[in-house]
Amino acid sequence: RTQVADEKTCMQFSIRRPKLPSSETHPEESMYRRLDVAAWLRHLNALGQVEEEYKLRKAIFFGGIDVSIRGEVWPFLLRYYSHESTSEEREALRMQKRKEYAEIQQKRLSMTPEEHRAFWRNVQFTVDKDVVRTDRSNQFFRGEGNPNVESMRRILLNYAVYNPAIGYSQGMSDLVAPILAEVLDESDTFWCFVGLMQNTIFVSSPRDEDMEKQLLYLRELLRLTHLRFYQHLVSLGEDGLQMLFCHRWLLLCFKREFPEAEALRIWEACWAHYQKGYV
Amino acid sequence: MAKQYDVLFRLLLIGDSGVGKTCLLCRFTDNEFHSSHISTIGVDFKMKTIEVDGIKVRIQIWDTAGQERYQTITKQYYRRAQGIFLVYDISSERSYQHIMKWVSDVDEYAPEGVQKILIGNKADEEQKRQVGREQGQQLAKEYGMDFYETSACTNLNIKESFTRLTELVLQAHRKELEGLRTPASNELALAEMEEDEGKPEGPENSSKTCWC
Repeated sequence: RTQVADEKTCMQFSIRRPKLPSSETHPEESMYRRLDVAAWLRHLNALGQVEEEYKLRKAIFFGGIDVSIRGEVWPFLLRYYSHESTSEEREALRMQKRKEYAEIQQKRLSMTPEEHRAFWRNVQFTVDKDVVRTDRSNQFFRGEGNPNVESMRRILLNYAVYNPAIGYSQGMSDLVAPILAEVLDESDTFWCFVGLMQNTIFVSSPRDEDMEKQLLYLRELLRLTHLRFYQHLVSLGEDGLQMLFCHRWLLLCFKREFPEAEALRIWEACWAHYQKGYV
Repeated sequence: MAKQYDVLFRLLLIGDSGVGKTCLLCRFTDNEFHSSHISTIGVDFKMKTIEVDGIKVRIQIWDTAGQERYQTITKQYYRRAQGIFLVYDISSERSYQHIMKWVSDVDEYAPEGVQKILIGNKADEEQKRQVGREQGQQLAKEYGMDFYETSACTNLNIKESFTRLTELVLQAHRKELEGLRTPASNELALAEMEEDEGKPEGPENSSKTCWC
């Protein structure tokens, strides 16, 4: 058996009904195909600006993005590139951001011994433990001494320097790894990750407010849509509705619950923020 | 219908990130070992039934994230534990030093009378050892705990330590469990008590709680 199979067997959801009858799906769902290169280019004008952001978001929400262009499109969804930017402006932005990233890294590397000790204790110790066990079954991170693991490590360490209020929390490596594997460039990935983090539950750290709010929504959804299950949770006493089993779903947006392809499809749909003015 | 077990216990694994909590658990419940496990986020649990002293004990073992930032989670899982493994890594002095912090968390959140044992894991990594066996013994003695050096990798002392903690929990609850071994006893088991705790509330009651 492969390691992937071993890792996944104990934790994954099984998909009971991969295809829903049209009566149960959104009426527009079947109208969208996966966004491929040709479709993507049609969304851009001659200067490389996204013509109609809303249409793009909608297409991604319903159809997803072809793997071959994820690295190009994700930076828009993660708010690294603005939709109005031209190709030329994006190139300039990348150069400027690369410099900024180098400065953040420089700041990390020039800490005083005392600062470094504190940083090691609060951040680096855990990052070092986590990067070597994040997505290692993915081809991109496979094998001993893989330089991409080192990139992931630097991104997380630099992020903790950039945003010391968040620092590093376990789970963040799970979020950054798929982005690095698609975007490839270390600096670009860093800035995409910065955008992503602003929309995650990690930002409420160290308080639990965002998690509590999400769980509250989930409880209400359950009560409205699956009353019997909701009542079962109620019957379990005070622990049932705490829904400890959902924390990871929310924190990592189902990354550990579905096979990677499906999980990333969910991520994209969420990042598209279609018809949703919150979060 | 006959029950598959006589009593249900909740055990909890705590300790720094990367000391091998998940590996200990996988070795014990599934007899499997993967050195490159993924980090635990939130909580996971596994179950196993073992027989101790003629009693079939169903143990529910909660595996936690070494770095847990959600207080609500932390409190939840400490509160209902009857036995706790405090785990460090013999190749990490720091994880050993941190046992003190973990003990103080236990004191704060776990119920009184919770049973604890100290585990020094990765005993197979002798060449990287930073914490001597006597240091482990010494610390365990200070806190009045049993101590094991284990290796999930080579399967050293895994079954022994899980069985020992289960025995300790059994002993601590001997009163409630008396009579379990006589077949005609009234079923006063912890499992039963647990289930009673979660008595369903009346429908009016529950509908009220959702609107608060």
